[in-house]
Amino acid sequence: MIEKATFIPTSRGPVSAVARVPESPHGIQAVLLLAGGRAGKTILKLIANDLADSGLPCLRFDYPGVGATSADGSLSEPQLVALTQEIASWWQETTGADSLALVGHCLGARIAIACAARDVPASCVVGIHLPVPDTSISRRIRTKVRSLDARGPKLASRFVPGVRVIDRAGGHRDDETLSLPEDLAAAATAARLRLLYGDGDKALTSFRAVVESLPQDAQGAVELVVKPDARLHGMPERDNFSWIRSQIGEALAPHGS
Amino acid sequence: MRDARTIEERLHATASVAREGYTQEVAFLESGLYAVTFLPTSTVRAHLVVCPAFLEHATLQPTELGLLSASAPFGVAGIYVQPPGVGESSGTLTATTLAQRLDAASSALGHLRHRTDTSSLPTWFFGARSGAILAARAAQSHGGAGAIFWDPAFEAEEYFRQVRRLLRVSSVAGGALRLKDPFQALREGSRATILGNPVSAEQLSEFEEVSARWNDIHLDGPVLAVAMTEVVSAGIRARLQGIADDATVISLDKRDATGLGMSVRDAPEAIAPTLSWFRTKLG
Repeated sequence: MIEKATFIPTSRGPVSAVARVPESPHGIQAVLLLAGGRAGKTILKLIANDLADSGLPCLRFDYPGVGATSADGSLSEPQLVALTQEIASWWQETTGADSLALVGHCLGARIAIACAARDVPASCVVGIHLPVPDTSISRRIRTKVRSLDARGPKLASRFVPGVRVIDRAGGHRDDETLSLPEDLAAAATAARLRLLYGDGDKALTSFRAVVESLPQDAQGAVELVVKPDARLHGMPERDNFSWIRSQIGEALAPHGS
Repeated sequence: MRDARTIEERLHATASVAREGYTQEVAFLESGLYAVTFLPTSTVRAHLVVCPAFLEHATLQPTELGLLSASAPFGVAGIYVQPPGVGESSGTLTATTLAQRLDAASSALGHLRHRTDTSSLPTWFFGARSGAILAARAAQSHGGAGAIFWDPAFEAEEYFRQVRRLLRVSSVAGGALRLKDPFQALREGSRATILGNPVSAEQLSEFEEVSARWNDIHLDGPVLAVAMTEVVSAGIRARLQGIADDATVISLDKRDATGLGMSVRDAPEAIAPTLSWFRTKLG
């Protein structure tokens, strides 16, 4: 197994990444894993190790302001998607893969769907606790940061340590947003979609409502898998790992297997 | 699909990036630890090793990398190695001991010396907040090395009080009426996460023990401490008396009304006085 740290050249500067490549890659797809900022890095590392063991080259990367990727100003969500499209293209070219499987956690799941809805040649997208507008933890934190900012910028960074850095340096601005229903519908025609939640996740109800609002054919293409008696957001990640792992394994298996 | 060796070659080709005045590299050390190295393009005049903080490593990392990138064009080769279990480094965070963190700092220095092909340059270990104790210990174990502290948390009891206060205001700001005290949970044998890090009771005890043995430390090399306020700097001066032969304490003259210590917002302000101090030391 080869584990290699590297930088991905992008139009926004070098993005730090870690690739895990099996000695004998097999199949035609490589995997791109998308973290939700700092959150979810541990579980994505475990998933990458697992998938690489099964023969798939895997790449994880840090958004600007996270890890060794330096940040120069804020990025909106559409800009994050554009950056990820560049990264996906680079990874596909580096591995020579015909297609990519995208595995995203939280905000990373949202960006994975947006990428699949655009030009990224994704065969499959697995989203772990996709945040849904107005219910997601990240949205509530952002709202909280904004309200705290109104009282004084210094306070915000103290009240929500870490989040501020992502928000400032590589995160989200709400003046430019993506449409989840539109992206889901487009992604569903391009790739297999599997969304994972726990039945205790607050975003689950909202996500079901979003799916019901989709055209009938897109509804049928969105596969929702719910883990009973669990929350995938805010719970120790390792507790859910074996279940998530099996769900991803099934989703990435070739059609008909 | 390309074969593994071809993919590896392509990954290797982009593992270093040329910046203005230095080259930045990312790599895994033999021990499985993840390292970010800053190599000056001019003559290397000193080595700087970051000792990541115990609890605040994730929030401080961008600023610490910022210090390394700002120092490199002045001839200061720097390295940031994530301790075992942190970020990309292998290991389990809750099982990581202080000794392992110190080994990581030594490995970092070894890698930096190897990459710069010299071992006889002035060396500094850097630590912000709870990383300061690690930096002091690391400097002591490499005789003659200096240390740089930003808002050092030398006293475990006061440090935990600040963290608890921060958690309390975060909790209230998040809409919770009561804080589930993670320190209490650890004492009761439960698992706990503090500032986003899973932490074990043993790790807290170890930090307390090392803090209690502060007076055992002696630093031969030059020491810089950057404090948030004049009042805090007076306390740091007192702590360094008898510990460091050559200590400089600078105050950022902030108004730390909340008493929570250096935040991610304040930290970048410490870079400029640190660079000035480097210039005076390196001539």
